[in-house]
Amino acid sequence: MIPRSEPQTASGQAARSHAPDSIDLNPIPPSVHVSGLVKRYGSLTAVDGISFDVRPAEVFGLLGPNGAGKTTTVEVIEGLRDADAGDVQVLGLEVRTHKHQIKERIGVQLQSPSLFPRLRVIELMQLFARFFKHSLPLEPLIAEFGLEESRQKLVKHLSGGQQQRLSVALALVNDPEIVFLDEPTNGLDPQARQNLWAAVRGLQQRGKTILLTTHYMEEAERLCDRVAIVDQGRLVAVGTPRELIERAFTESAVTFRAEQVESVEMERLAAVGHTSHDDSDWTLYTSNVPATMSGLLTYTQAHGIQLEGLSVRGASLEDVFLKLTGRRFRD
Amino acid sequence: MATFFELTRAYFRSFMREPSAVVFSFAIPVLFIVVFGLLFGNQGTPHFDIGVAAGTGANSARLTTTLEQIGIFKVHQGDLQAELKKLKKGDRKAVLDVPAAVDSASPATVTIYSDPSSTSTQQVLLPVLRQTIDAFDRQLGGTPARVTVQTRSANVEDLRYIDYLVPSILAMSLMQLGLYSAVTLVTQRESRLLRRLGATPLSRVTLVASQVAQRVVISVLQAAILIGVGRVLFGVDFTRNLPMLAAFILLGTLAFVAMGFIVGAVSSSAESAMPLVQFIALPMLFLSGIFFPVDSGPRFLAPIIRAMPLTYLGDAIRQSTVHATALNPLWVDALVLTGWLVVSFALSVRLFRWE
Repeated sequence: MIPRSEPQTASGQAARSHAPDSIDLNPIPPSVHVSGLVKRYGSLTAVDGISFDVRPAEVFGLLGPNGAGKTTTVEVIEGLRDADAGDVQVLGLEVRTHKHQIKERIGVQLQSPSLFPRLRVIELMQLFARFFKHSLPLEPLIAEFGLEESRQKLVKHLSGGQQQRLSVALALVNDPEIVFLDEPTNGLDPQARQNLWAAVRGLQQRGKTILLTTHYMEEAERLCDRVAIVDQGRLVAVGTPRELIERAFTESAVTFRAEQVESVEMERLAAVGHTSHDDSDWTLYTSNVPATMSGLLTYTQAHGIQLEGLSVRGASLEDVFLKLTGRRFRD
Repeated sequence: MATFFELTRAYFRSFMREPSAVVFSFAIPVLFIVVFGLLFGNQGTPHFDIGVAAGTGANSARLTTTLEQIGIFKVHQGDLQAELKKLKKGDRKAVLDVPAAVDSASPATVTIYSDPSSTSTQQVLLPVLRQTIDAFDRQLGGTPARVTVQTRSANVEDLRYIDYLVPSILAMSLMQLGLYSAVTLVTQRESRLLRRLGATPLSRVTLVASQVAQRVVISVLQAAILIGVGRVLFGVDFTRNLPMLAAFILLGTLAFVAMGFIVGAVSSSAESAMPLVQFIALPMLFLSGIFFPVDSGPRFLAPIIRAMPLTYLGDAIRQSTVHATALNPLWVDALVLTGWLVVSFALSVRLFRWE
């Protein structure tokens, strides 16, 4: 592990992440303001000087591999953990000193469903509604998350997807202004994931601010208005998915599978900026797709190399992550 | 307050929907009572303890020897008042008052004090005693009979084994229920339920109080069931001092729940909490006088036995139900249990972890 200094972010990362805000003339204060956040567990620095703002009614994603510090960051914002250094404000209130008020106004979904397994769905909803001064009528909420059929079921008898939906529904019982979703689609099948995305957009349309963590690139790209890429406790970049991609790449990516291909040879191909590969899975970043393609085909034919799964795509957040951290994004 | 009740209800429901917990808490203690009760319950002590208050003359000595030779009596000689006191406590089945006149040549009347409500005493013991004294009189050879017998009722609180057992099992169940809160706590932490609750405005005090309240409610249920079973199957009368019983059920539950919370705080998983609970519970089960009064253990165990909270809870519950011989005055029991409660509670608060 690279030795890290104290909350040095003030200059470096803070400046980068604050840049979009400075050109935003919106006078409304951010829903969440994080500045120079540091959290250590013993000798491990889980969060190492992270700064970002979440604006009202936006879907903001913390994107990073498992163990990057996303969950810790979110839990500090939720008031579940105390930061070792840095300033965290939620709805304009200092988290450290206003935990109780903040908890009334936020909704939290944790990574594992974390529920009473032997309560019925409706009992659990009623229980959680009791914890808050204000709560929403439960029946519409149950209906919205497709739990009508299961309202009398014990939580432990629900499927994984149903538990996940219940857990999100519970995060909404107090009609929160900010909703925190920690890996909300983890373990869901594609259909359930689509449904959850729709629900998140519905929340946004009702004016809620959503802060979610994810390690799904696709989720970050398609669901989030803005994304912060987190790696090893540090914030690597913040922006809309498009901004991030355009900032990092003007190129497209040519991908294929091939054995016995040399990096040096690939970098020599026309218009190739740089390359990366994972065993025999290759990605060539190019500013001119036809030129690179023709070069690649000529080369492989000349050397009798088999090409498989050749395709061209625009750069993605995954490529951004790779470029910014030098490492491939993995779970 | 509404939150507190709702959360208590949630914990209570969770408990009642866990078949193993219900069986463990309600059925096992009942089973213990039934099995031990059937095995040993109505079987009194194999010999009858009788008290003899007699003079020092030759005839008195001969009567005492005769009684001992019959084999079913264990004869305790002593002062009449002291022996009557023991009769009242159930330590004697009968007490014979042998007047000094027995040793002279004048007519004398031996008085037998016994419990009129004890059928075994009335049907077995008294006839044997009468015959023995009649035979003794014939040996003296006087006609008409020089030594006569009269019987008197003494108000005796007879303690059978089952009377000892049922309140003891109640104490044991309260201990188990309390200590097992460790497992519940660890499970909630493992499943991150505690953390989820921590993300709501729910206060920590309410969170802890609800779990304690749940245990208290279950304790009261346990007590009601055990008292009911003891009463119906074995005629154990528990109604001696109900307010005192209730107070000690509460105190005992709180003390053991607090101890359970310590175990819960130091255990990393439910699997590791379980053996730790057993490690604490088993020695108490055997040494705290739950199944048998422990008065004859090795001496080195005495301080350990004297430190165990279950010793005091068992003692207190027996005293407030069936008038067993007290090990300690009730206030000592209360004091020791309160001590355990305070220390355990302080420690569990210090060691508490959300995850």
